[in-house]
Amino acid sequence: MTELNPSERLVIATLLEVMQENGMPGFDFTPQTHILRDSGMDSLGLALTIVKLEEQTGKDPFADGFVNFTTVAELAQLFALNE
Amino acid sequence: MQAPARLAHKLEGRIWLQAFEPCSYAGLQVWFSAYLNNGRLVYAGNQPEEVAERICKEGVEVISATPSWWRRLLQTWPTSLPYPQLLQASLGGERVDQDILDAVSKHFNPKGLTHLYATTEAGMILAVKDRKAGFPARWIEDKTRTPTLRLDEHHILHVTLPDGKTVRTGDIIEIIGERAFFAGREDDIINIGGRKIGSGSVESAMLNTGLFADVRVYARSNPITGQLMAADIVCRPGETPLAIAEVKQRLRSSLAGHMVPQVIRWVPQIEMTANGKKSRI
Repeated sequence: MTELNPSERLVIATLLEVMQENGMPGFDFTPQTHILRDSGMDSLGLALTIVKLEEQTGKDPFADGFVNFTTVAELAQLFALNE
Repeated sequence: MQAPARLAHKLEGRIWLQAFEPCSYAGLQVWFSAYLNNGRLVYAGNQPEEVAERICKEGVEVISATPSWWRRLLQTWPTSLPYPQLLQASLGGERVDQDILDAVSKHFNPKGLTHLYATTEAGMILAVKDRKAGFPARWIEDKTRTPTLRLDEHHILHVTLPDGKTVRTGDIIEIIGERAFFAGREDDIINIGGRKIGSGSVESAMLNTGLFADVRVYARSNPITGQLMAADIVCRPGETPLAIAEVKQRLRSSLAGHMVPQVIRWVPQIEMTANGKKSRI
């Protein structure tokens, strides 16, 4: 298993927090996980994840419109912490 | 929505609370009501913790205020101070939910408990005295009532005044059984990925669980679903805030799934406007 970078760790922790809040079982996320297809999370849960990531990082990667992403790694890239 | 000035015989010469700034619109309404009834006004002051003391010390008998103001009063009522019995308690200017009617009824045991619905354009529309939220659904289309109430295809309330003029109120009515409820304003509709939900009906449902002292529901934008439903919640006096996961779990057990807000946060209190209404985000 590959080492997670800090923003991947943050994204996975936030996804798990949302799943717990919404009464869903956990999921073993990896950077390659397709969030909506594989984990059982729905679009509302994903929307909440993004709200939480925006609050925690102070970043708003969708300010100029929607940016496509499907995997944990792609979402983490949008909220990359080292910029 | 606003509460109109009223003239009532049993209120002649009584002691009224001036709950709002006398120069605000809500304050003026109370001032006129008290004046028309030869009442004496007691100014509540700006400090929430002083209001309860003043009500007791001055022997206030009549209070007319918004649900938000009543919630604040109950949240800040000192535990050592007994609740006085009121002659008349009125609520208006905002949607009135069952939990606040029950709380006012329980603590102040008023002889009269009325909730009022009025608009700037149409004036006084409804006064409901049966201590239940909403109003009897049979009042809609009842031609013997003035003004006459009608719902359009979007469930928006229209009222026809005695002079034949019809006013579109913009308030959405939801009928449950034999009762009609205010589900919010048409501009308070939250669109979550195409599913439209009235924030007012969610606030009512959350308040009626009895888990919170106050609730404000609003839309929060996000790139996935366009909008997301968010709620600020206020803890009941003397209770400890539950973890958000626990709050959601309790809400899921009593509300339909789509009624449970995604973003929920505890706040110390919900801000009121100068007219005593819940400030909207």
